[in-house]
Amino acid sequence: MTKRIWKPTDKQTEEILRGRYSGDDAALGDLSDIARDVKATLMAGPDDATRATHLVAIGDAAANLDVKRAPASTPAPSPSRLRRVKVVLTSLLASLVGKIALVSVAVAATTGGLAATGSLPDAAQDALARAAERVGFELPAGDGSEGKIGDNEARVPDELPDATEGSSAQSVLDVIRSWDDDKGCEFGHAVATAAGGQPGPCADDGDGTEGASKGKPDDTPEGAGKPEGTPQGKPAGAGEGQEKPEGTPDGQPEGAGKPEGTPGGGSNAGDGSGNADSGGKGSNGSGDAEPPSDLPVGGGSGNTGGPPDSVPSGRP
Amino acid sequence: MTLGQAFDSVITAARAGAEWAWTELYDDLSPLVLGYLRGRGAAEPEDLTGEVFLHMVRDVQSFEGDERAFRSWTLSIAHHRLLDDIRYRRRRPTEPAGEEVDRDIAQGGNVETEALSSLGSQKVLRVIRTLPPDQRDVLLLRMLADLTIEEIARILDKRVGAVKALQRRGLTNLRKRISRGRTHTGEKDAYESDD
Repeated sequence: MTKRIWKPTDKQTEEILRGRYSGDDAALGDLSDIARDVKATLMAGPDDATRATHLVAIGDAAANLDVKRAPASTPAPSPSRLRRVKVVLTSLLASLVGKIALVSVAVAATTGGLAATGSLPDAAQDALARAAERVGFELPAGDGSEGKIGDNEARVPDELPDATEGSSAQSVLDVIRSWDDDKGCEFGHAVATAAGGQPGPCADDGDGTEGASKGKPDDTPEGAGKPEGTPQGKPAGAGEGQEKPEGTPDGQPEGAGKPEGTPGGGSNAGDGSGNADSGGKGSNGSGDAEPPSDLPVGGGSGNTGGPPDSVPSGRP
Repeated sequence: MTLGQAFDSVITAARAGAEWAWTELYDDLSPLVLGYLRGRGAAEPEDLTGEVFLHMVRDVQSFEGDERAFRSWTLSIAHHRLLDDIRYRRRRPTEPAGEEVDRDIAQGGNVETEALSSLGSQKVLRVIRTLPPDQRDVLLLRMLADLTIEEIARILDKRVGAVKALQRRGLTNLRKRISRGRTHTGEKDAYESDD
């Protein structure tokens, strides 16, 4: 006796299930007969009494059918839905957190709107514009000028008043206008020379006098001393030694923003990547990095003395 | 057995609550619903049929589609209503008549022989009821409503492949019973199930 796996074709299956198999296989024919008999047996409708009972119940239900629920139009919010929204809002405002969140959102929205239109006071507008610039937005500065805050060239007057004739102002202005590079120490030297003064040594000279002025961000033109290519959105902690002279040891070896093995100090500071373009890695604290030419090295702290091991924990 | 071109007007009137439209729909679909519930072994198939139509009246506003889709939608309601009924009765001390019949079938030793000796209505029904519920669902929906595999998959909330497998196993099981009966009558079978 030959044993085979029984597997009807799709066509045979369709014929069997419809009760229309007409092949030679007797077993398939029996299956087809069963399908036909099942259909004939089960598809007998309900008797008259059952039908009448059902139709009465269906008629009653259909008569009470809420035809307004037809999805022909957008349903208006039902009273229960409005009540539910009201309950949610009431419970939200009843909590202290909800109130604080609501006030915070309102203040943020108002401040943001005013900042966007440049309607804030100059100091606040400058601060917000500076902050927004770091995250890639441009807001009007405090003086109402559009664009980046550090765009100081726009403030250089085209012509000097008559009262400045004979002074060194014109030569200073010429230096400012003719200076194409970033305005680092050399730029300051050139301006000082044009003004007839004696330029002091840069931080490159090792005395740290350049960095002494770095601790006053308000006095320093925005962008001055910032390494070329340093991203605006630098991570917190990166290169903070430029602006935080307090407690920062000076006299450190060049590029020793964070001594090796010093705990803490932020993940970006002093990781030795040395790439000023790579997402704001610590331009000041990178160990092996070659600093930009106009970037004062040694942390720019302006302090003197202090061995590297005096670095406070967690501060580069 | 189908409404054909009149379906659109009937369903529109049914949505508006017209009694005549519901009578049309009942006469068209009640044999199918009742047959499925009977074949599936419902305890009170007539009562369940009435409940299915009341459910349809309540939810007809949410239905969208043609007559074939309406048939599938109706059987979907019937299937879920049946499952609810089975669960309800399992929590009750009395056992449903349908399951009693199934138990009798399982205990009986000559069901297949009876089915072969006479493919009468009740005996065929008994053979169908010996199938596992999933296989029974698929074969009944295929035989009675002539639904496609995809439509049955939607009704049963199963994958198409699973429905195909259930259909094949159901047919194989049916055939095995017929083969046993044939063996009882002295006729040899040359096939073997792959189950």
